[in-house]
Amino acid sequence: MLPTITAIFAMLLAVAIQSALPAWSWLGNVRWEFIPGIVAYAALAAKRPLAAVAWAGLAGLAQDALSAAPFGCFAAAYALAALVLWWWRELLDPDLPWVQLLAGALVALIASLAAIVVVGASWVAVGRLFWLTLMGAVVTPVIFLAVDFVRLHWGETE
Amino acid sequence: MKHKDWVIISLLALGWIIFLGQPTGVSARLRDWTGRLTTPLVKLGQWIPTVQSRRTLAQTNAVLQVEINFLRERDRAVRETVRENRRLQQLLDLKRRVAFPTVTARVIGRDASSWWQSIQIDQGSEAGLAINMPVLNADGLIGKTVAVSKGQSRVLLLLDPACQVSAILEESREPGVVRGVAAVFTTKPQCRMLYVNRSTQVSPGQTVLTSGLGGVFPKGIRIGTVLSAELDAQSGMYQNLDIDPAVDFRRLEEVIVILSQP
Repeated sequence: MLPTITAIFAMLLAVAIQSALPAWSWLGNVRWEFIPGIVAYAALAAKRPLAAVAWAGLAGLAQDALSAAPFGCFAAAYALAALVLWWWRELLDPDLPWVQLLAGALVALIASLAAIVVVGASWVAVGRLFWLTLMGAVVTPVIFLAVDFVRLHWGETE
Repeated sequence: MKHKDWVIISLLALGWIIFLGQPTGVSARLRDWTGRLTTPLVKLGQWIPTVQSRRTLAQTNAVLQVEINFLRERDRAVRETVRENRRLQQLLDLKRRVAFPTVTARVIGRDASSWWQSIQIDQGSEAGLAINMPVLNADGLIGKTVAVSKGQSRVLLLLDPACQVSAILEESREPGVVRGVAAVFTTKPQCRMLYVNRSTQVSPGQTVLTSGLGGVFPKGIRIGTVLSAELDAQSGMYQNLDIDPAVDFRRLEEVIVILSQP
């Protein structure tokens, strides 16, 4: 029970930090997003697809609640991304940095595509999608390290 | 003592007697010259530290360090209070100027995604807020409420392309629509005024205000100033104006929400 609560708290904390950070112009007016990394981790670590989708959906709802996005937009996108990753988890070794990198990029890409469906496509939107995908890839290995550390010290979350 | 020494001592004593017999002006001048030579040395002496034991110095240093930290923290708190006081004073002035009932709110968060430009404020339906209420601060228009819950609300910023405001140019009274511009890698957030008559003379620095049309934003709220104007590339029938927002959207802390319009 306690590890689950810890995991939920960590996820909410990640969303809160994400919403507190400013969008810097030198970073392309986008903010660091940690949720794609958490979703990727949960999807690759989950034993059942329902667990992967549930974690992703919860993280997405938390992000939706702290955004002007239509409620459920990111929840659906993250759930879909988690399902895709869970499907491929047999082929992927989550301990490899490049796998973590690609998993984060995939989740960020799917979430960005969902956002583009809502805000509309434009060259700026495509640029932002590219940039967020790249940032998702960069952040995810760090998230994996952090979550591994937490699991090591506070036990399994499954 | 030798005879030679006696002679020298006698000469010195004689010289001293002669010196003492001089008028006051001469001795005063001599004193002045001597003083000029020695004063720098006296001043230099002030810089020579008093010798203390290392242990005493370390203890004093530690106490002073604590005191410095305390004073720095207090100084920071005082500065922050002064700044907050100034901002709240501006908001109070604004509340007095606005003819409608208003609610003051603090900004408690930004948008968690990079796709929307919004902020979260700490007042909600309990304070009388509802969807589509204008939000502003002393500098000008910030946006409108798009989601309201019991104790908090989300405000869509003027910078978001989904937030459209009916506007006029202050001098020419020429109407248009202001909306945010989605941009990557810009140093300053911008928005644009669209559908301005192509024959209107527009110059940089002109003020843009809300027009009051549309039913959401009251008339006369400052939106920003014109940066540049260009003919609409697609139709060629209108001018599009780049607007420098009056509000610094990166430093939003307190806002007021206009509850209703007559």
